[in-house]
Amino acid sequence: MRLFSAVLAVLTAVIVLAGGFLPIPVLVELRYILLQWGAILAGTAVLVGFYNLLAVHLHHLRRGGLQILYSLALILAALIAFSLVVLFGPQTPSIQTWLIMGIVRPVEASLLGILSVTLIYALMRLLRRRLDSLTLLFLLSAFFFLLAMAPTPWGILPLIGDFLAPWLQDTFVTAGARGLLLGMALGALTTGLRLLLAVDRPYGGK
Amino acid sequence: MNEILCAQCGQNNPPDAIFCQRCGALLPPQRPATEPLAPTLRPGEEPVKKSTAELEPLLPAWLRETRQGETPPPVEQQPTPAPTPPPDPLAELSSSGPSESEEEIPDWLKELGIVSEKPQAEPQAGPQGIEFQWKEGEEEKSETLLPEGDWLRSLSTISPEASAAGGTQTPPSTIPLSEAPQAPTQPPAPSAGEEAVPDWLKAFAEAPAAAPEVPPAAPSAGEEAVPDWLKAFAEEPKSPVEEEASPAVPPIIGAPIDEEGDLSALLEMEIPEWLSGISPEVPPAETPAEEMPALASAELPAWVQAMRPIEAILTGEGKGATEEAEEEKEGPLAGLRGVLPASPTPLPYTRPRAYSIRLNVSDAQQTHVQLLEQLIADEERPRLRRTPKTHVTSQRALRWLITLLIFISLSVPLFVRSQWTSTPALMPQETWQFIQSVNSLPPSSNLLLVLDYEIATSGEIEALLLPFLEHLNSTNQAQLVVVALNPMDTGMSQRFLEVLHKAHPQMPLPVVLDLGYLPGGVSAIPLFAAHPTFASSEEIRLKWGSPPFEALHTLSDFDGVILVTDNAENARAWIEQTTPWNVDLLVVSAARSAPILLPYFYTGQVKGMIGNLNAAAAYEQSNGLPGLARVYRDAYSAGLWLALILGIVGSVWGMVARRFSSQLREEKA
Repeated sequence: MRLFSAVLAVLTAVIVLAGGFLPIPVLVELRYILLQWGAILAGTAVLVGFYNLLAVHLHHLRRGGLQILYSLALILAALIAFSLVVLFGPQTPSIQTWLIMGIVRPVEASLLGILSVTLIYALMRLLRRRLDSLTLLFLLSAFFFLLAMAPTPWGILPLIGDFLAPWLQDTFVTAGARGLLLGMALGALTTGLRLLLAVDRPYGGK
Repeated sequence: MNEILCAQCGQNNPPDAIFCQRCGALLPPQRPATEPLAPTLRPGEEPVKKSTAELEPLLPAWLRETRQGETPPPVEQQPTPAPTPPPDPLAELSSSGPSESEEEIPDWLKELGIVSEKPQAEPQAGPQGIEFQWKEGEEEKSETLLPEGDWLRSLSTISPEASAAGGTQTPPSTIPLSEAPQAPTQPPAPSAGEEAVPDWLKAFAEAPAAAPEVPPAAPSAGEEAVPDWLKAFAEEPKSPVEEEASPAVPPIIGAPIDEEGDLSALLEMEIPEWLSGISPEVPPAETPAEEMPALASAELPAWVQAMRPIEAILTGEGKGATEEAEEEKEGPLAGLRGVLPASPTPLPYTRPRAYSIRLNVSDAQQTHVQLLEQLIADEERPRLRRTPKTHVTSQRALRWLITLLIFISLSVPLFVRSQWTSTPALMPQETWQFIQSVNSLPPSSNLLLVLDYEIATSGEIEALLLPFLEHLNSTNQAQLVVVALNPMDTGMSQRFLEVLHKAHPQMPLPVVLDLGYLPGGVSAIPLFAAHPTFASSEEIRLKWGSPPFEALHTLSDFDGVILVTDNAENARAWIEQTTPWNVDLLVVSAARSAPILLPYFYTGQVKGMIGNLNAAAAYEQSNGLPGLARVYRDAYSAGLWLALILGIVGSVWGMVARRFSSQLREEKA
């Protein structure tokens, strides 16, 4: 069974990869069919995840305790949202917009607001917890870019906003971003090759 | 009064005691007061030559019988069969034939009177003339090599003197008696001292009287107890011719070998290596026994004498104990007496000390035990964790203060609608390219709007996207196809239209076709690029096949793709997957992902980008329509300045506090 799953996974990857590189109609169509199957399976995975979420919190309800209210609220909210979308269909975005903009957005925005408070608090206490060259460099760069990006009544700050900040962003920031992107690309390539050669088998086996 | 010394523990006991009062061992019989106690030999002391007649009883039974058999017993000839010899350790060797049996005669046995006559006989070619080489003239050496102990050495000193004095007729007991102070040289008269004379000595004393009555060749009654091999010793002085004439008499030891079975058994017997290595040596016939030097008593080293058995030192005591000892009946020690204790030696018995089962514990120890039990019980007992009392600390107050300051700094500009900050004087390069790309779109262009952001950043995204929609709606009657990569973004197109209508009520809204959520995430991007409606419903497909979207089949048919994202990873996937389709890609990114996506702008894969609120404000300024970016700009500026000031103040305070805390630690140290 392990060998079968490995052969199936590697064969699928080879077909999809070949369909992307070689403009052969059969390969391209086969690739799209496989991708469509994958998309349908991914959508089904979301449904399975929703069922798993309900099952976990139903277990919490049966177990009891102080967390029962949170689990109850989550189950009710999930079932109501699911029922509304299923009842009215995806072609009526007003209900979804109301649910998202009325419930999800304020909650997530509050979390981001708390994050901003936490970041400022950490910035204030950073030197008390740790004092070394890297900490000082981090603080100086943070202060510099805050000062460069903060709008002022007098426009941009001379020498900082019009020269130093753009230069730093075009050189150091872009260089760092390129390095990150190169690392991500190499990691994705390596992961793809390991999956293609059946070294890693997240679908089963090892 | 003489006390009896215990051989086990050395305890002095009364003379009438039978058992040791200390260890309970059996005490030897009381020695006469006139008989001095043999001094204990200590290391380093020279041993004193002394009489060994007392050791005579210590001899094994078979050896004593040998002595008795040496004297011609006055017995009558009886045609009785040969008596069964007593079991002795040399019985097996006795069947080994003449030559071998003589080799096995121990030295001490040769030096006895009976063996000492051997040199007087004619030399024989064969085993009878064998003597051990190490034996000749090395009395001292041989004496030290005697393993049997002192009693063997005493025997070794007997033979020459006995042979010189009386030959075979002289009882060997006269030798130690001659060395004794009161030892009589003649047969003692019946007296009290005669009781100390051993039986075999009495036999010797009676032997001369019985000898004339019995023919020498006639077997006597006493011969019945004499083994055959002893008979051989007795007849050893005979000439070899006579021996050949009487083959029934074994030459040395053992019965005559006349059966093949016995011989084969002998040959099969394992002969020790030391015995097999001895070669026959014919002693000189000219040397008579009288001329042989008498074996002098060797001077034993102190350590050898210290190893002697206690019976060798305790002359009188050990005698009685040995006589009372039981004779061994079987085994290699058969015939020996007193070698092994007849009964288990009573071990010293002391009454065990009685211990009380009561535990003597002091009060302090009891207190400690109670304390330990209480500690163990407390460990097993569940207890509530005492949480510290919630009181206002400086850190908690600081966090509340930060929250309050941020709330004030952001809310006041929004509610006041202030515009105290200046408009951006500079526009980022990527934003300027974005505007140029929108300006270069054909009229009634078909644009794909991809939504991939978290709903929490929708406020920032709306502020960044609204200038583009205003620009697009004012210059181009574009048709928008909206697809969401995040399930939360489904239906957000409706929200954008509402915001746009709220900001510019007089502005006509663009045509929008919402494809909904793209199942599969980033893995479905290639499939979506090839078949944009692969996951759409039938209603969507009907709209897709009607104007103005009937010309859209693949991603290449779009005039441009606007990616609205705050996720750099998904934006990278979109950029890389749509590059082969040769479509202009414009990015509206949140501030947190814009720096990562900026390199794609420099490589040309992204035609333009709106990356932060300043860029959006600049876009609005270029549009000439102030929107959300301008409204948010003051609040944005206030928040940045607040973060900068708090960060600087906190850092300075942290350094000072760190300095003070280090000084306090040094002072405490």
